[in-house]
Amino acid sequence: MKRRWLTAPYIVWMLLFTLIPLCIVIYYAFTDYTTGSFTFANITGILDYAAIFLRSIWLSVAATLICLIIGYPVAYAIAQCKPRTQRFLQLLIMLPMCMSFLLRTLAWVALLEDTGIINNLVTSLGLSPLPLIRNSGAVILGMVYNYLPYMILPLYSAISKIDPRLTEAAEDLGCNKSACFRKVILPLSMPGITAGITMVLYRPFPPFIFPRNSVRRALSWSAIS
Amino acid sequence: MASELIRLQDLVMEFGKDRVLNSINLSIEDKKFLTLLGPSGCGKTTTLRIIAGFQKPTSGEVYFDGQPITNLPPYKRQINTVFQNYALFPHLDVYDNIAFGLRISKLPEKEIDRRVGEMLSSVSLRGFENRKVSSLSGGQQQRVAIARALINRPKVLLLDEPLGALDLRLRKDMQNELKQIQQEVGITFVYVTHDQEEALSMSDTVVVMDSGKILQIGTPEDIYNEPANAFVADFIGESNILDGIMLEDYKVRFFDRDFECVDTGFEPNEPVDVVIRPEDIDIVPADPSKLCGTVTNVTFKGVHYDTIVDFKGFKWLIQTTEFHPEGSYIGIEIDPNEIHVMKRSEYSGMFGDYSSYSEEYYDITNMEEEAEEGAAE
Repeated sequence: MKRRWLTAPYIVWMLLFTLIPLCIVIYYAFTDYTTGSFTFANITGILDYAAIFLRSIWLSVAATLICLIIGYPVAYAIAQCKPRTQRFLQLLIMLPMCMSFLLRTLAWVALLEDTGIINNLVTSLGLSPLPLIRNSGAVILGMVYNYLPYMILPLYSAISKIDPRLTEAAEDLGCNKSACFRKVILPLSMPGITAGITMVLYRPFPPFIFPRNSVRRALSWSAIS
Repeated sequence: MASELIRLQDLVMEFGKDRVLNSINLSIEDKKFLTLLGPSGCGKTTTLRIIAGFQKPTSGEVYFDGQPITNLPPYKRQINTVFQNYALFPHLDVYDNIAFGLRISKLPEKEIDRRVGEMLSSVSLRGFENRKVSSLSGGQQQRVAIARALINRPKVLLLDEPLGALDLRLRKDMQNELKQIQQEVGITFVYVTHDQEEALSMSDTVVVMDSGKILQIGTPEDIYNEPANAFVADFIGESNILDGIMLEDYKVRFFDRDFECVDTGFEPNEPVDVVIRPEDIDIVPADPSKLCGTVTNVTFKGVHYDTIVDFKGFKWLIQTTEFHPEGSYIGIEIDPNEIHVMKRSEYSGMFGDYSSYSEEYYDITNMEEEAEEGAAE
């Protein structure tokens, strides 16, 4: 309490880089780009992009759900292992995160391209190439692949904190395995589920464009971020 | 008359190469309070977990009401458990914790409400229905744990060191309360503890265990007055344990003196362990006809004095209400009834000398136990 002045740098930082830019955004939202006069045109203009907005929200939600469905069993399985194995598996989950987002995405492009590894295999069998890239499926695949660790880790940390005696207590009080999961494990892993969903759901909003468009677009986007 | 409810037959439990239980045979009578007593790691908790169904024995069979239940999962057994550290559900309030078992068995909500209400009154927790369990004190959590288990009307309640985390005063209160609850509901309690006093004051039957074996089964009086071997004598209360020779029936020799006793059934001149409880020894004026020694240490303990007396290099603990100053030369008298003769066992010679007596012996043993408990968790 006494050393309140120590927070000064943080307050200045927040003012400069968060509050002021936000004000600028709000200012431009309600003024005309060329004349500078007050207008609602920018707000009503959102409707023109509604379709794109909705699609990116839909893609995000779909990717998040898939992450949850894949991530929960994985996190649960890791939490049941011996401590040493747990640490090793955790490392495996985090390892791809050490690699550049761009490289990981390019690797998928190399796999999925019309002349990519998978389609080369398909065409060598005398079939026509599959439409693997530049569609919603590819976007969701890319997002699930990239953001799965962000789902697994909070889930794992919530599940591993559940006292194993609580499941024993539930069994003791008459729960079979599935009731035990519904009544005890699932409610107690809720914080992990919420954290996982938050981390995965908001994350994909910016890069909704990635493998859908050309590699160059992905390249330029990654360069900016 | 009491009938057998649970029978453990030749239970063996191995974890890897560790043999935790070594052929446990035990019959548990209906509506009785039975305590498994022993030091940390003696296998008492494992035995309890096998009865509850959380662990399957490596070999052996568990019978419940005559039916084998060894492979029955916990949720199909008419047995409920009060866990060490309670294991209450943190996401539920007091009411929902207690109602948990009844909700699982899909009782009508009205019936649940009535029974939870009854249970809350009987553990004096009325008014706490909507409290978070994390906001309760240790004693209150304990009561919720007991209520949560008892509400299912099990035939057997298993309790795994339920009072271990409470302070001394609360522990005494809860001991009385538990005993009272057991008599009121009239079901079998199987209680696990390493606290001998707890075991003696609550139980109908005490089972003393060490290194995966049962050493003695008996009433608290039997266990205290007629310990089966040096380990039991030392573990239950304080004891002076001496090497002796059973000359003939009713006559035992130690410290080169012959003493009258009440034990029979030994070989002539058989080497034995002799147990004398510190409170059973009377201090009398020194006299050549008596066993005499020098007081080396006196500690005031409230009700009595702990007097350490050196007899030819072997130190005894004597508890008397009279004060005998350090350095005084005294004699002792022992009533023949108070001399307990035991067969020699693998524990002979390991216990019973008070040479390393320290004024804080209670504290030291308590600290050791706590350290072990910590390590076990």
